[in-house]
Amino acid sequence: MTITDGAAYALCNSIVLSGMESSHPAEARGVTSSNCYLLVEGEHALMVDTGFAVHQRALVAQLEQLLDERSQLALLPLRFGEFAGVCNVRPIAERFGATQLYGRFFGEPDEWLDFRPDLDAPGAPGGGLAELRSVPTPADGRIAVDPVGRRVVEILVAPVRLLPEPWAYDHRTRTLFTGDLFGWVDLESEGSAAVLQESDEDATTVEAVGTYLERNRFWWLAGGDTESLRNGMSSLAERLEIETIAPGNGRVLRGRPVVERHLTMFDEALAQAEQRPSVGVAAGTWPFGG
Amino acid sequence: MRSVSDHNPLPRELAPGVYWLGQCSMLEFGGRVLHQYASTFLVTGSRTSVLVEGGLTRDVPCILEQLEGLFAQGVPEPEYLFLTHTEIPHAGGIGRFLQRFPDAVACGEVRDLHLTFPQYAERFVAMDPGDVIDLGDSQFHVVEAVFRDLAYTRWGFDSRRRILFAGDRFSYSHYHDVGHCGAVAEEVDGLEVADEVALFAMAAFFWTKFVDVEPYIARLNELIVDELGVEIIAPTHGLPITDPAATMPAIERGLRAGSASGMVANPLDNPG
Ligand SMILES: [Zn+2]
Ligand SMILES: [Zn+2]
Repeated sequence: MTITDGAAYALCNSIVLSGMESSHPAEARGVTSSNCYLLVEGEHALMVDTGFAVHQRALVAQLEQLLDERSQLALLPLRFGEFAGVCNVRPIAERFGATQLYGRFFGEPDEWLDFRPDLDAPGAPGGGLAELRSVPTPADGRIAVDPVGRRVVEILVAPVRLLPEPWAYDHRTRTLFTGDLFGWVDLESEGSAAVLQESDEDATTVEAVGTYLERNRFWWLAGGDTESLRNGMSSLAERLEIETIAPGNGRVLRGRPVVERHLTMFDEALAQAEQRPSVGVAAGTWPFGG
Repeated sequence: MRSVSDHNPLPRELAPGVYWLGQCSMLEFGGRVLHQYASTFLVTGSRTSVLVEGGLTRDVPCILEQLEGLFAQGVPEPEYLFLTHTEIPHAGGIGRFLQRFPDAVACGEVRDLHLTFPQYAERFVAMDPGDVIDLGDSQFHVVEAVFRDLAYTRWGFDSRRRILFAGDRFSYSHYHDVGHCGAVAEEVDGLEVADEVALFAMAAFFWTKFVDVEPYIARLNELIVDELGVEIIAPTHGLPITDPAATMPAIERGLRAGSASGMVANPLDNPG
Protein backbone atom coordinates (compact mmCIF):
# COMPACT_ATOMS: atom_id res chain seq x y z
CA MET A 1 0.00 0.00 0.00
CA THR A 2 1.35 3.40 -0.96
CA ILE A 3 1.77 6.04 1.74
CA THR A 4 3.61 8.51 -0.51
CA ASP A 5 4.24 7.47 -4.09
CA GLY A 6 7.89 6.68 -4.73
CA ALA A 7 8.83 7.39 -1.11
CA ALA A 8 6.97 5.33 1.49
CA TYR A 9 5.03 2.06 1.40
CA ALA A 10 3.24 -0.07 3.98
CA LEU A 11 3.71 -3.83 3.59
CA CYS A 12 0.68 -5.25 5.38
CA ASN A 13 -0.30 -8.89 5.83
CA SER A 14 -3.40 -10.13 7.65
CA ILE A 15 -3.47 -12.14 10.85
CA VAL A 16 -6.68 -13.78 12.07
CA LEU A 17 -6.67 -13.28 15.84
CA SER A 18 -6.84 -16.49 17.87
CA GLY A 19 -5.99 -15.16 21.33
CA MET A 20 -2.36 -16.17 20.91
CA GLU A 21 -1.02 -12.98 19.32
CA SER A 22 1.01 -10.72 21.59
CA SER A 23 -0.30 -7.62 19.81
CA HIS A 24 -3.81 -8.07 21.22
CA PRO A 25 -5.64 -9.02 24.42
CA ALA A 26 -6.21 -12.79 24.71
CA GLU A 27 -9.98 -12.21 24.35
CA ALA A 28 -9.67 -10.26 21.09
CA ARG A 29 -10.95 -11.83 17.90
CA GLY A 30 -11.18 -10.47 14.38
CA VAL A 31 -8.45 -9.64 11.91
CA THR A 32 -5.40 -7.47 12.34
CA SER A 33 -2.43 -6.95 10.11
CA SER A 34 1.27 -7.29 10.68
CA ASN A 35 2.93 -4.21 9.19
CA CYS A 36 6.38 -3.55 7.84
CA TYR A 37 7.33 -0.40 5.94
CA LEU A 38 9.67 0.50 3.09
CA LEU A 39 11.12 4.00 2.70
CA VAL A 40 12.64 4.69 -0.70
CA GLU A 41 15.01 7.48 -1.71
CA GLY A 42 16.40 6.97 -5.21
CA GLU A 43 18.32 3.70 -5.24
CA HIS A 44 18.40 3.55 -1.45
CA ALA A 45 15.76 1.96 0.69
CA LEU A 46 15.20 1.43 4.40
CA MET A 47 12.89 -1.31 5.67
CA VAL A 48 11.20 -0.79 9.03
CA ASP A 49 10.67 -4.18 10.76
CA THR A 50 10.61 -7.47 8.86
CA GLY A 51 7.43 -9.26 10.02
CA PHE A 52 6.62 -12.83 10.96
CA ALA A 53 7.89 -15.98 9.24
CA VAL A 54 4.36 -16.86 8.03
CA HIS A 55 4.48 -13.74 5.85
CA GLN A 56 7.95 -14.28 4.41
CA ARG A 57 6.81 -15.15 0.91
CA ALA A 58 4.25 -12.34 0.75
CA LEU A 59 6.78 -9.79 2.01
CA VAL A 60 9.46 -10.84 -0.44
CA ALA A 61 6.89 -10.54 -3.26
CA GLN A 62 5.85 -7.08 -2.01
CA LEU A 63 9.50 -5.98 -1.90
CA GLU A 64 10.15 -7.36 -5.38
CA GLN A 65 7.51 -4.96 -6.71
CA LEU A 66 9.23 -1.99 -5.08
CA LEU A 67 12.94 -2.73 -5.38
CA ASP A 68 15.09 -3.50 -8.40
CA GLU A 69 18.57 -4.83 -9.07
CA ARG A 70 20.22 -1.49 -8.26
CA SER A 71 18.39 -1.01 -4.95
CA GLN A 72 20.49 -0.80 -1.81
CA LEU A 73 18.49 -1.95 1.16
CA ALA A 74 19.17 -1.37 4.85
CA LEU A 75 17.09 -2.75 7.73
CA LEU A 76 15.72 -0.93 10.76
CA PRO A 77 14.06 -3.36 13.19
CA LEU A 78 12.28 -1.03 15.61
CA ARG A 79 10.67 -4.05 17.29
CA PHE A 80 14.03 -5.72 17.71
CA GLY A 81 13.12 -7.62 20.88
CA GLU A 82 10.14 -9.42 19.38
CA PHE A 83 9.66 -11.97 16.64
CA ALA A 84 7.27 -9.57 14.84
CA GLY A 85 10.22 -7.32 14.07
CA VAL A 86 12.92 -9.74 13.05
CA CYS A 87 11.70 -13.07 11.61
CA ASN A 88 12.59 -12.16 8.05
CA VAL A 89 15.88 -10.35 8.53
CA ARG A 90 17.78 -13.33 7.18
CA PRO A 91 15.71 -14.17 4.06
CA ILE A 92 15.34 -10.48 3.13
CA ALA A 93 19.05 -9.81 3.62
CA GLU A 94 19.82 -12.83 1.44
CA ARG A 95 17.30 -12.07 -1.32
CA PHE A 96 17.99 -8.32 -1.60
CA GLY A 97 21.62 -8.16 -0.52
CA ALA A 98 21.07 -5.97 2.52
CA THR A 99 24.33 -5.39 4.37
CA GLN A 100 23.32 -2.97 7.13
CA LEU A 101 21.07 -3.39 10.11
CA TYR A 102 20.55 -0.35 12.32
CA GLY A 103 20.89 -0.78 16.07
CA ARG A 104 23.22 -3.00 18.03
CA PHE A 105 21.00 -5.03 20.26
CA PHE A 106 22.08 -8.50 21.29
CA GLY A 107 25.41 -8.63 19.47
CA GLU A 108 26.13 -9.02 15.77
CA PRO A 109 23.16 -10.15 13.60
CA ASP A 110 24.39 -13.73 13.30
CA GLU A 111 24.56 -13.99 17.11
CA TRP A 112 20.82 -13.54 17.67
CA LEU A 113 18.91 -13.55 14.39
CA ASP A 114 19.64 -17.06 13.15
CA PHE A 115 16.70 -18.58 15.01
CA ARG A 116 14.69 -20.19 12.18
CA PRO A 117 15.62 -23.83 11.55
CA ASP A 118 13.50 -23.81 8.37
CA LEU A 119 16.01 -21.47 6.71
CA ASP A 120 19.00 -23.74 7.19
CA ALA A 121 20.77 -24.77 4.04
CA PRO A 122 23.21 -27.63 4.55
CA GLY A 123 26.72 -26.27 4.97
CA ALA A 124 25.61 -22.64 5.21
CA PRO A 125 25.04 -21.87 8.87
CA GLY A 126 23.72 -18.34 9.33
CA GLY A 127 23.55 -17.78 5.56
CA GLY A 128 23.39 -14.10 4.62
CA LEU A 129 23.47 -13.00 8.24
CA ALA A 130 27.24 -13.24 8.14
CA GLU A 131 27.25 -10.46 5.50
CA LEU A 132 25.00 -8.24 7.57
CA ARG A 133 26.73 -5.64 9.74
CA SER A 134 25.06 -3.95 12.66
CA VAL A 135 25.39 -0.19 12.51
CA PRO A 136 25.01 1.67 15.81
CA THR A 137 22.20 4.20 15.77
CA PRO A 138 23.91 7.63 15.42
CA ALA A 139 24.06 9.57 18.68
CA ASP A 140 21.78 12.27 17.26
CA GLY A 141 19.25 9.58 16.35
CA ARG A 142 19.21 10.62 12.68
CA ILE A 143 19.50 7.84 10.13
CA ALA A 144 20.13 8.85 6.52
CA VAL A 145 18.18 6.74 4.04
CA ASP A 146 20.47 7.91 1.22
CA PRO A 147 24.24 8.47 1.53
CA VAL A 148 24.08 12.26 1.14
CA GLY A 149 21.40 12.54 3.79
CA ARG A 150 18.62 14.18 1.77
CA ARG A 151 16.22 11.81 3.45
CA VAL A 152 16.44 11.54 7.22
CA VAL A 153 14.59 9.21 9.56
CA GLU A 154 14.66 10.34 13.16
CA ILE A 155 14.80 7.65 15.84
CA LEU A 156 12.68 8.64 18.82
CA VAL A 157 12.35 7.54 22.40
CA ALA A 158 8.73 6.35 22.51
CA PRO A 159 6.88 8.57 25.00
CA VAL A 160 4.68 5.63 26.04
CA ARG A 161 6.21 2.17 25.89
CA LEU A 162 6.29 -1.23 27.50
CA LEU A 163 9.52 -2.61 26.03
CA PRO A 164 12.62 -0.51 25.41
CA GLU A 165 11.88 -0.25 21.70
CA PRO A 166 12.13 3.07 19.83
CA TRP A 167 9.75 4.86 17.46
CA ALA A 168 10.83 6.63 14.28
CA TYR A 169 9.71 9.59 12.17
CA ASP A 170 10.23 10.05 8.46
CA HIS A 171 10.45 13.82 7.89
CA ARG A 172 9.84 13.65 4.14
CA THR A 173 6.51 11.80 4.30
CA ARG A 174 5.59 12.93 7.86
CA THR A 175 5.07 9.35 8.94
CA LEU A 176 5.40 8.31 12.58
CA PHE A 177 6.29 4.65 13.19
CA THR A 178 4.85 3.60 16.53
CA GLY A 179 5.71 -0.09 17.00
CA ASP A 180 3.25 -1.69 19.45
CA LEU A 181 1.08 1.42 19.96
CA PHE A 182 -1.83 2.65 17.81
CA GLY A 183 -2.50 -0.90 16.60
CA TRP A 184 -6.11 -0.90 17.75
CA VAL A 185 -7.97 -0.55 14.44
CA ASP A 186 -8.76 -4.01 13.08
CA LEU A 187 -9.29 -4.99 9.47
CA GLU A 188 -12.80 -5.70 8.23
CA SER A 189 -11.80 -9.12 6.99
CA GLU A 190 -8.76 -11.10 5.98
CA GLY A 191 -6.98 -9.30 3.16
CA SER A 192 -9.17 -6.17 3.35
CA ALA A 193 -7.71 -2.66 3.39
CA ALA A 194 -5.09 -2.16 6.07
CA VAL A 195 -5.43 1.61 5.94
CA LEU A 196 -7.90 3.91 7.64
CA GLN A 197 -8.59 7.17 5.81
CA GLU A 198 -10.94 10.05 6.43
CA SER A 199 -13.47 8.64 3.94
CA ASP A 200 -13.64 5.30 5.81
CA GLU A 201 -16.09 4.56 8.54
CA ASP A 202 -14.30 4.46 11.89
CA ALA A 203 -16.18 2.92 14.80
CA THR A 204 -13.20 3.08 17.23
CA THR A 205 -14.18 4.31 20.68
CA VAL A 206 -12.09 5.52 23.62
CA GLU A 207 -13.35 2.43 25.51
CA ALA A 208 -12.05 0.13 22.77
CA VAL A 209 -8.67 1.88 22.84
CA GLY A 210 -8.62 1.49 26.65
CA THR A 211 -9.39 -2.22 26.44
CA TYR A 212 -6.75 -2.78 23.77
CA LEU A 213 -4.17 -1.09 25.99
CA GLU A 214 -5.11 -2.26 29.46
CA ARG A 215 -5.95 -5.89 28.68
CA ASN A 216 -2.55 -6.48 27.15
CA ARG A 217 0.81 -4.70 27.04
CA PHE A 218 -0.31 -1.57 28.81
CA TRP A 219 -1.89 -3.33 31.80
CA TRP A 220 0.06 -0.93 34.06
CA LEU A 221 -1.79 2.18 32.84
CA ALA A 222 -4.89 1.43 34.92
CA GLY A 223 -4.46 3.30 38.18
CA GLY A 224 -1.06 4.59 37.03
CA ASP A 225 0.15 8.16 36.92
CA THR A 226 -0.48 8.93 33.25
CA GLU A 227 -0.13 12.70 33.18
CA SER A 228 3.53 12.78 32.17
CA LEU A 229 2.82 10.12 29.53
CA ARG A 230 0.05 12.31 28.08
CA ASN A 231 2.37 15.33 28.12
CA GLY A 232 5.13 13.34 26.44
CA MET A 233 2.81 12.21 23.68
CA SER A 234 1.33 15.66 23.09
CA SER A 235 4.68 17.43 22.96
CA LEU A 236 5.88 14.89 20.42
CA ALA A 237 2.74 15.44 18.34
CA GLU A 238 3.24 19.21 18.56
CA ARG A 239 6.85 19.05 17.46
CA LEU A 240 6.28 16.69 14.54
CA GLU A 241 3.72 17.24 11.85
CA ILE A 242 2.19 13.79 11.70
CA GLU A 243 0.25 12.94 8.57
CA THR A 244 0.40 9.17 8.94
CA ILE A 245 0.64 6.96 12.02
CA ALA A 246 2.30 3.71 10.96
CA PRO A 247 1.84 1.08 13.70
CA GLY A 248 3.41 -2.38 13.78
CA ASN A 249 -0.01 -3.94 13.51
CA GLY A 250 -3.58 -2.89 12.71
CA ARG A 251 -4.69 -0.37 10.13
CA VAL A 252 -2.36 2.45 9.11
CA LEU A 253 -3.90 5.78 10.20
CA ARG A 254 -3.74 8.22 7.29
CA GLY A 255 -4.41 11.92 7.00
CA ARG A 256 -4.55 14.73 9.56
CA PRO A 257 -8.20 14.23 10.61
CA VAL A 258 -7.71 10.50 11.29
CA VAL A 259 -4.39 11.11 13.06
CA GLU A 260 -5.91 13.88 15.21
CA ARG A 261 -8.88 11.72 16.14
CA HIS A 262 -6.72 8.80 17.25
CA LEU A 263 -4.27 11.01 19.15
CA THR A 264 -7.25 12.47 21.00
CA MET A 265 -8.72 9.04 21.75
CA PHE A 266 -5.32 7.86 23.00
CA ASP A 267 -5.07 10.90 25.26
CA GLU A 268 -8.57 10.31 26.63
CA ALA A 269 -7.86 6.62 27.17
CA LEU A 270 -4.73 7.55 29.16
CA ALA A 271 -6.72 10.07 31.22
CA GLN A 272 -9.46 7.50 31.93
CA ALA A 273 -6.94 4.78 32.80
CA GLU A 274 -5.64 6.89 35.66
CA GLN A 275 -9.11 6.90 37.21
CA ARG A 276 -9.44 3.13 37.19
CA PRO A 277 -8.15 0.79 39.90
CA SER A 278 -4.81 -0.88 39.22
CA VAL A 279 -4.91 -4.39 37.76
CA GLY A 280 -1.13 -4.76 37.88
CA VAL A 281 -0.92 -7.55 40.42
CA ALA A 282 -4.03 -9.40 39.15
CA ALA A 283 -2.76 -9.26 35.56
CA GLY A 284 -0.19 -11.88 36.55
CA THR A 285 -3.01 -14.42 36.85
CA TRP A 286 -4.88 -13.68 33.62
CA PRO A 287 -5.53 -16.98 31.83
CA PHE A 288 -5.16 -17.42 28.08
CA GLY A 289 -8.78 -18.54 27.84
CA GLY A 290 -9.76 -14.94 28.77
CA MET B 1 33.43 -6.97 19.11
CA ARG B 2 31.93 -10.38 19.74
CA SER B 3 29.73 -10.38 22.78
CA VAL B 4 30.53 -13.66 24.47
CA SER B 5 32.96 -13.94 27.36
CA ASP B 6 35.87 -16.41 26.93
CA HIS B 7 35.57 -17.77 30.41
CA ASN B 8 32.49 -19.92 31.08
CA PRO B 9 32.03 -21.54 34.49
CA LEU B 10 28.60 -22.97 33.52
CA PRO B 11 26.89 -25.41 33.73
CA ARG B 12 26.41 -25.23 37.46
CA GLU B 13 24.17 -27.50 39.53
CA LEU B 14 22.09 -25.04 41.56
CA ALA B 15 20.35 -27.78 43.55
CA PRO B 16 20.33 -31.57 43.06
CA GLY B 17 19.19 -32.14 39.47
CA VAL B 18 18.68 -28.48 38.56
CA TYR B 19 21.31 -27.06 36.23
CA TRP B 20 22.09 -23.47 35.29
CA LEU B 21 23.12 -23.39 31.62
CA GLY B 22 24.31 -20.86 29.09
CA GLN B 23 27.08 -18.34 29.08
CA CYS B 24 27.76 -14.79 30.09
CA SER B 25 27.69 -12.08 27.47
CA MET B 26 29.10 -8.60 27.59
CA LEU B 27 27.29 -5.45 26.73
CA GLU B 28 28.19 -1.82 26.86
CA PHE B 29 25.85 0.31 28.85
CA GLY B 30 26.43 3.90 29.89
CA GLY B 31 30.09 3.64 28.89
CA ARG B 32 30.74 0.56 31.05
CA VAL B 33 31.06 -3.05 30.08
CA LEU B 34 28.58 -5.17 31.97
CA HIS B 35 28.18 -8.90 31.95
CA GLN B 36 24.72 -10.30 31.53
CA TYR B 37 22.88 -13.56 31.08
CA ALA B 38 20.02 -14.81 28.99
CA SER B 39 20.09 -17.95 31.11
CA THR B 40 18.51 -21.33 30.52
CA PHE B 41 17.93 -23.98 33.22
CA LEU B 42 17.39 -27.73 33.07
CA VAL B 43 15.04 -28.98 35.78
CA THR B 44 15.22 -32.76 35.95
CA GLY B 45 12.95 -35.33 37.54
CA SER B 46 12.88 -39.10 37.66
CA ARG B 47 10.54 -39.27 34.63
CA THR B 48 11.40 -36.26 32.48
CA SER B 49 12.91 -32.79 32.42
CA VAL B 50 11.89 -29.21 31.68
CA LEU B 51 14.20 -26.79 29.92
CA VAL B 52 13.37 -23.33 31.28
CA GLU B 53 13.80 -20.37 28.86
CA GLY B 54 15.02 -20.37 25.27
CA GLY B 55 18.14 -18.19 25.39
CA LEU B 56 19.69 -16.33 22.47
CA THR B 57 20.74 -18.27 19.38
CA ARG B 58 24.42 -17.53 20.01
CA ASP B 59 24.12 -19.49 23.27
CA VAL B 60 22.37 -22.52 21.72
CA PRO B 61 25.47 -24.50 20.64
CA CYS B 62 26.97 -23.96 24.10
CA ILE B 63 23.74 -24.99 25.87
CA LEU B 64 23.33 -28.08 23.68
CA GLU B 65 26.88 -29.13 24.48
CA GLN B 66 26.22 -28.64 28.20
CA LEU B 67 23.01 -30.68 27.85
CA GLU B 68 24.72 -33.53 26.00
CA GLY B 69 27.15 -33.79 28.90
CA LEU B 70 24.23 -34.13 31.32
CA PHE B 71 22.37 -36.67 29.15
CA ALA B 72 25.56 -38.75 29.07
CA GLN B 73 25.28 -38.90 32.87
CA GLY B 74 21.73 -40.30 32.60
CA VAL B 75 19.68 -37.12 33.00
CA PRO B 76 16.38 -37.44 31.04
CA GLU B 77 15.98 -35.32 27.89
CA PRO B 78 13.38 -32.55 28.22
CA GLU B 79 9.84 -33.15 27.00
CA TYR B 80 8.89 -29.60 27.98
CA LEU B 81 10.52 -26.35 26.85
CA PHE B 82 9.09 -23.73 29.20
CA LEU B 83 9.15 -20.05 28.23
CA THR B 84 8.35 -17.21 30.62
CA HIS B 85 7.53 -15.01 27.61
CA THR B 86 8.40 -14.80 23.96
CA GLU B 87 10.72 -11.81 23.88
CA ILE B 88 13.93 -12.56 21.98
CA PRO B 89 16.28 -12.80 25.03
CA HIS B 90 13.92 -15.41 26.51
CA ALA B 91 12.80 -17.33 23.44
CA GLY B 92 15.43 -16.72 20.74
CA GLY B 93 16.67 -20.31 20.78
CA ILE B 94 13.29 -22.05 21.03
CA GLY B 95 13.17 -23.07 17.35
CA ARG B 96 16.61 -24.63 17.67
CA PHE B 97 15.56 -26.56 20.78
CA LEU B 98 12.33 -27.77 19.12
CA GLN B 99 14.50 -29.00 16.25
CA ARG B 100 16.90 -30.83 18.58
CA PHE B 101 14.15 -32.34 20.81
CA PRO B 102 11.49 -33.54 18.35
CA ASP B 103 9.30 -35.06 21.08
CA ALA B 104 9.19 -31.90 23.20
CA VAL B 105 6.54 -29.19 23.32
CA ALA B 106 7.14 -25.49 23.95
CA CYS B 107 4.93 -24.33 26.79
CA GLY B 108 4.20 -21.40 29.10
CA GLU B 109 3.70 -18.03 27.37
CA VAL B 110 3.93 -19.08 23.74
CA ARG B 111 2.18 -16.24 21.92
CA ASP B 112 3.40 -15.42 18.39
CA LEU B 113 5.29 -18.71 18.08
CA HIS B 114 2.73 -20.09 15.59
CA LEU B 115 3.52 -17.08 13.38
CA THR B 116 7.27 -17.52 13.84
CA PHE B 117 7.64 -21.31 13.57
CA PRO B 118 4.54 -22.46 11.64
CA GLN B 119 6.21 -25.84 11.03
CA TYR B 120 5.95 -26.52 14.79
CA ALA B 121 2.42 -25.12 15.25
CA GLU B 122 1.18 -28.38 16.84
CA ARG B 123 3.86 -28.21 19.51
CA PHE B 124 2.91 -25.01 21.35
CA VAL B 125 0.98 -25.38 24.60
CA ALA B 126 -0.25 -22.20 26.32
CA MET B 127 -0.18 -22.69 30.07
CA ASP B 128 -1.92 -20.77 32.83
CA PRO B 129 -0.99 -20.24 36.48
CA GLY B 130 -2.06 -23.42 38.30
CA ASP B 131 -1.02 -25.78 35.51
CA VAL B 132 1.42 -28.49 36.58
CA ILE B 133 4.00 -30.59 34.73
CA ASP B 134 4.74 -33.95 36.35
CA LEU B 135 8.48 -34.66 36.34
CA GLY B 136 8.13 -37.91 38.31
CA ASP B 137 9.64 -37.17 41.69
CA SER B 138 8.95 -33.44 41.40
CA GLN B 139 6.30 -31.12 39.99
CA PHE B 140 6.91 -28.05 37.88
CA HIS B 141 4.17 -25.52 38.63
CA VAL B 142 3.23 -22.65 36.36
CA VAL B 143 2.81 -19.63 38.63
CA GLU B 144 1.73 -16.03 38.21
CA ALA B 145 4.41 -13.57 37.14
CA VAL B 146 4.12 -10.85 39.73
CA PHE B 147 6.58 -8.61 37.91
CA ARG B 148 6.73 -8.61 34.13
CA ASP B 149 6.90 -6.67 30.93
CA LEU B 150 4.62 -8.52 28.48
CA ALA B 151 1.20 -9.45 29.84
CA TYR B 152 0.60 -13.21 30.17
CA THR B 153 4.20 -13.78 31.23
CA ARG B 154 4.47 -16.98 33.31
CA TRP B 155 6.88 -18.02 36.04
CA GLY B 156 7.74 -21.58 37.01
CA PHE B 157 8.30 -23.30 40.37
CA ASP B 158 9.93 -26.66 41.05
CA SER B 159 8.24 -28.24 44.06
CA ARG B 160 10.99 -30.59 45.24
CA ARG B 161 13.88 -28.13 45.15
CA ARG B 162 11.72 -25.07 45.83
CA ILE B 163 13.21 -23.02 43.00
CA LEU B 164 11.33 -20.11 41.46
CA PHE B 165 12.12 -19.33 37.83
CA ALA B 166 11.29 -15.66 37.77
CA GLY B 167 11.98 -14.43 34.23
CA ASP B 168 12.60 -10.69 34.17
CA ARG B 169 12.17 -10.20 37.91
CA PHE B 170 15.43 -9.91 39.88
CA SER B 171 17.17 -8.89 36.69
CA TYR B 172 20.45 -7.16 36.96
CA SER B 173 23.80 -7.14 35.30
CA HIS B 174 27.12 -7.58 36.98
CA TYR B 175 30.29 -5.58 36.57
CA HIS B 176 33.05 -6.64 34.27
CA ASP B 177 34.78 -8.96 36.62
CA VAL B 178 35.02 -12.56 35.48
CA GLY B 179 35.02 -13.61 39.13
CA HIS B 180 31.29 -12.85 39.12
CA CYS B 181 30.50 -15.11 36.18
CA GLY B 182 28.78 -18.29 37.26
CA ALA B 183 28.51 -17.12 40.86
CA VAL B 184 25.28 -16.84 42.82
CA ALA B 185 24.40 -13.44 44.28
CA GLU B 186 25.47 -14.34 47.81
CA GLU B 187 28.98 -15.36 46.65
CA VAL B 188 29.80 -12.00 45.14
CA ASP B 189 31.37 -9.66 47.61
CA GLY B 190 30.23 -6.10 47.20
CA LEU B 191 27.72 -6.89 44.46
CA GLU B 192 25.62 -3.78 44.54
CA VAL B 193 22.40 -5.63 43.92
CA ALA B 194 20.23 -2.62 44.71
CA ASP B 195 22.11 -0.38 42.25
CA GLU B 196 22.02 -3.00 39.57
CA VAL B 197 18.32 -3.67 39.93
CA ALA B 198 17.63 0.07 39.83
CA LEU B 199 19.73 0.42 36.69
CA PHE B 200 17.96 -2.42 34.97
CA ALA B 201 14.49 -1.29 36.05
CA MET B 202 15.21 2.19 34.76
CA ALA B 203 16.38 0.93 31.42
CA ALA B 204 14.06 -1.96 30.72
CA PHE B 205 11.02 -1.47 32.92
CA PHE B 206 9.77 1.99 32.05
CA TRP B 207 6.34 1.21 33.56
CA THR B 208 7.72 1.02 37.09
CA LYS B 209 8.00 4.82 37.10
CA PHE B 210 4.26 5.33 36.72
CA VAL B 211 2.86 2.92 39.28
CA ASP B 212 2.95 2.33 43.00
CA VAL B 213 5.40 -0.61 43.25
CA GLU B 214 4.43 -1.50 46.84
CA PRO B 215 1.53 -3.86 45.95
CA TYR B 216 3.88 -5.79 43.66
CA ILE B 217 6.51 -6.09 46.39
CA ALA B 218 3.87 -7.19 48.90
CA ARG B 219 2.41 -9.82 46.55
CA LEU B 220 5.87 -11.08 45.74
CA ASN B 221 6.76 -11.59 49.39
CA GLU B 222 3.45 -13.36 49.94
CA LEU B 223 4.07 -15.69 46.99
CA ILE B 224 7.73 -16.40 47.77
CA VAL B 225 7.54 -16.73 51.53
CA ASP B 226 4.00 -17.75 52.48
CA GLU B 227 2.65 -19.63 49.48
CA LEU B 228 5.61 -21.34 47.85
CA GLY B 229 8.38 -21.35 50.45
CA VAL B 230 10.96 -20.51 47.80
CA GLU B 231 14.55 -21.45 48.63
CA ILE B 232 16.29 -20.42 45.41
CA ILE B 233 15.33 -17.75 42.90
CA ALA B 234 16.60 -18.26 39.35
CA PRO B 235 16.19 -15.12 37.26
CA THR B 236 16.85 -15.12 33.52
CA HIS B 237 19.19 -12.12 33.44
CA GLY B 238 20.74 -12.00 36.91
CA LEU B 239 22.74 -14.16 39.26
CA PRO B 240 20.68 -16.82 41.08
CA ILE B 241 19.67 -15.95 44.62
CA THR B 242 20.25 -18.78 47.09
CA ASP B 243 19.28 -16.92 50.25
CA PRO B 244 16.11 -15.01 49.37
CA ALA B 245 15.52 -13.77 52.91
CA ALA B 246 18.95 -12.09 52.98
CA THR B 247 19.03 -10.73 49.43
CA MET B 248 15.38 -9.70 48.90
CA PRO B 249 15.67 -6.43 50.84
CA ALA B 250 18.40 -5.21 48.46
CA ILE B 251 16.28 -6.21 45.46
CA GLU B 252 13.32 -4.32 46.90
CA ARG B 253 15.46 -1.24 47.54
CA GLY B 254 16.61 -1.40 43.93
CA LEU B 255 13.10 -1.64 42.59
CA ARG B 256 11.96 1.29 44.70
CA ALA B 257 14.97 3.35 43.58
CA GLY B 258 14.37 2.52 39.92
CA SER B 259 10.73 3.46 40.25
CA ALA B 260 11.45 6.74 42.04
CA SER B 261 14.26 7.74 39.70
CA GLY B 262 13.35 10.56 37.35
CA MET B 263 15.98 9.22 34.97
CA VAL B 264 14.84 7.46 31.88
CA ALA B 265 17.57 5.61 30.07
CA ASN B 266 17.70 5.94 26.32
CA PRO B 267 16.14 2.73 25.04
CA LEU B 268 18.49 2.89 22.07
CA ASP B 269 21.22 1.75 24.47
CA ASN B 270 19.27 -1.43 24.95
CA PRO B 271 20.36 -3.38 27.98
CA GLY B 272 18.53 -6.55 26.90
ZN1 LIG C 1 10.91 -9.28 29.13
ZN1 LIG D 1 14.16 -10.18 29.73
